[in-house]
Amino acid sequence: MSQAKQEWGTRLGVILAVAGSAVGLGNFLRFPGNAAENGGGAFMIPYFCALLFLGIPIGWAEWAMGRYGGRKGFHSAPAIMGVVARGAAGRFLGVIGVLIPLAVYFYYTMIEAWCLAYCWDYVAHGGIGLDETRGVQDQVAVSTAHFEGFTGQAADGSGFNGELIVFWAIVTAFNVWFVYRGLSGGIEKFCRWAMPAMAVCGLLVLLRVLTLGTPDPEFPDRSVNHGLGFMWNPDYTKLGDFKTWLAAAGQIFFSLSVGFGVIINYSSYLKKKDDVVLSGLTASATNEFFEVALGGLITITAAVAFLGIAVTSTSTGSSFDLDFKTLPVVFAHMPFGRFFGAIWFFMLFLAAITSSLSMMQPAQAFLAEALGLTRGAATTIVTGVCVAGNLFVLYFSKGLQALDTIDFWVGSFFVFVMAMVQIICFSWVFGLDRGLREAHHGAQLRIPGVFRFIMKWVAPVYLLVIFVGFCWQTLPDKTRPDGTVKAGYLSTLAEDRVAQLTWGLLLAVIVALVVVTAIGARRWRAQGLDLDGTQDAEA
Amino acid sequence: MTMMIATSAAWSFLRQADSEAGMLSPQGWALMLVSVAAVVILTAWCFARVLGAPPPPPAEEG
Repeated sequence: MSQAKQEWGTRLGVILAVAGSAVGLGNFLRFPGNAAENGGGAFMIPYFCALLFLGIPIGWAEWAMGRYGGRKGFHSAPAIMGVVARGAAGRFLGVIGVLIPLAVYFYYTMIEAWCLAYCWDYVAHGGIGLDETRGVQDQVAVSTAHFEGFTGQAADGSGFNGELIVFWAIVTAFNVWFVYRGLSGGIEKFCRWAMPAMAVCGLLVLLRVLTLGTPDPEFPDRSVNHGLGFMWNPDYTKLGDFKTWLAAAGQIFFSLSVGFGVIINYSSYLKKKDDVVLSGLTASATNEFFEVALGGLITITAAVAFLGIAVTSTSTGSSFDLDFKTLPVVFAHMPFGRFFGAIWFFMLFLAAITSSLSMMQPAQAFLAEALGLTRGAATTIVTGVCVAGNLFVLYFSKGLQALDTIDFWVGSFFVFVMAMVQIICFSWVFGLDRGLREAHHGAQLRIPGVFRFIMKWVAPVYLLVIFVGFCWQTLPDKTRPDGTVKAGYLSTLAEDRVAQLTWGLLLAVIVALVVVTAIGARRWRAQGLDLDGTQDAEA
Repeated sequence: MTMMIATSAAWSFLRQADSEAGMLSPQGWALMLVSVAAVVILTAWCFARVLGAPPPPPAEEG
């Protein structure tokens, strides 16, 4: 390989980097909305089932496969999946593991820029200019107009406003700089600082929210107690609804970043005797801490305490609505709201950037090892592709259609596919016995025996059922209880020009990645590397 | 006997799924506390083991 050998500086560093990749906006915004809509406290039953049967076992498989591939000299999902699945089929399916982080980066940095811009609004201007003397509904309307104007949702091209471009340029510069600096000097160093900072910010906001009591005595039903009740009071009837189990599995799955192509890349830089079992569990537990202990107590509670259940419940279905439309109104009413608003959006910015850093790294490693590029050259090419993708999403901003299309097809659909490929390759192709032996090299914790059955049978079947349910729920048109029709993603793709253009962009990226994989395979074969996994990697 | 009384009291408390006017119910309390405690304890236990682990012997590296 012509690029300098990269490795992690410390074990804590790799754990925090993986946890940083997993902890994102979904922990603070998607989880509470999901829980409140799907049975409150009862939602935690399917949620913890999904963590136990899907998240943790697939995560362990990904950590073990990544480290195994790394010992063979590979650091990208196509190469590693080729080794694990012993051949070209695995190698080309592994392309999805580069596509996902790369394409998600196209829109994720835009959200990152929104968070930084909102943080700056609170620091410099005291908020987004809401008039506290007006009614709550009016303020939500003003907040909504501000968000939709800032993000250019009125028309394509209107996202190219000065402020958004400036913040996008800043976050892009941050990302490129840290990825260029490499694993230990860039990503690890940043995550070692950012993750504790995020926890401190979260705990400060949590402390503020839990001590709010009943902010306005005129509205006794708007209190912390009512907020926690709205979020946690159980509705067990929801457990009989398949949608609840689907929502819980989806939440765990996307929250932990399993099947995303990041863990397999990060763990490929570990040494043979580095632990993966305890490290994988620790990264997952850290993600759960941010999600349940912080996300589960802050967002909905604060919204209900100031705005009441009626206003809050209109925004629980959308992370963007909850964060960028509703919470600014909450901070406008909260004592020291300017300070806590700034801290909140800074924390979300940290959550986003620790994730986006992990999205550039797999593509950079892939180009470097497939084409024999230096780190600088690979970073330059990946930056070019990412900037082009960002500008595409930025331009097609009407109704956030481009963002939504990539988020659904790449950030959800392909993640399911990649996770299924990984768990089937690990348990059935590579072999469960061999896989668990590999995972236990240097392990500080043994995977309990029951996970043999879970990894071989429960996780693949559970995933398949959830995937079928997910497709059934999202692909075709659905008629709502009020008789209106919600367009499915298939009909949107057939009729919407932006969705079609977005798919054109994705297809171009997929073709390019397949070509690079084919070129890489020829190079690796010429170098005598074991790209088909026919030799044992005990050396 | 004390255990039985305590268990019985706890059970009758937890059976109250509903609460007055949408406030946090006893079952809501229990689910919230158990969920938060579970993730906090798991995270703390994992980090205690990670940070308390001895460094690998140099000969094993490579």
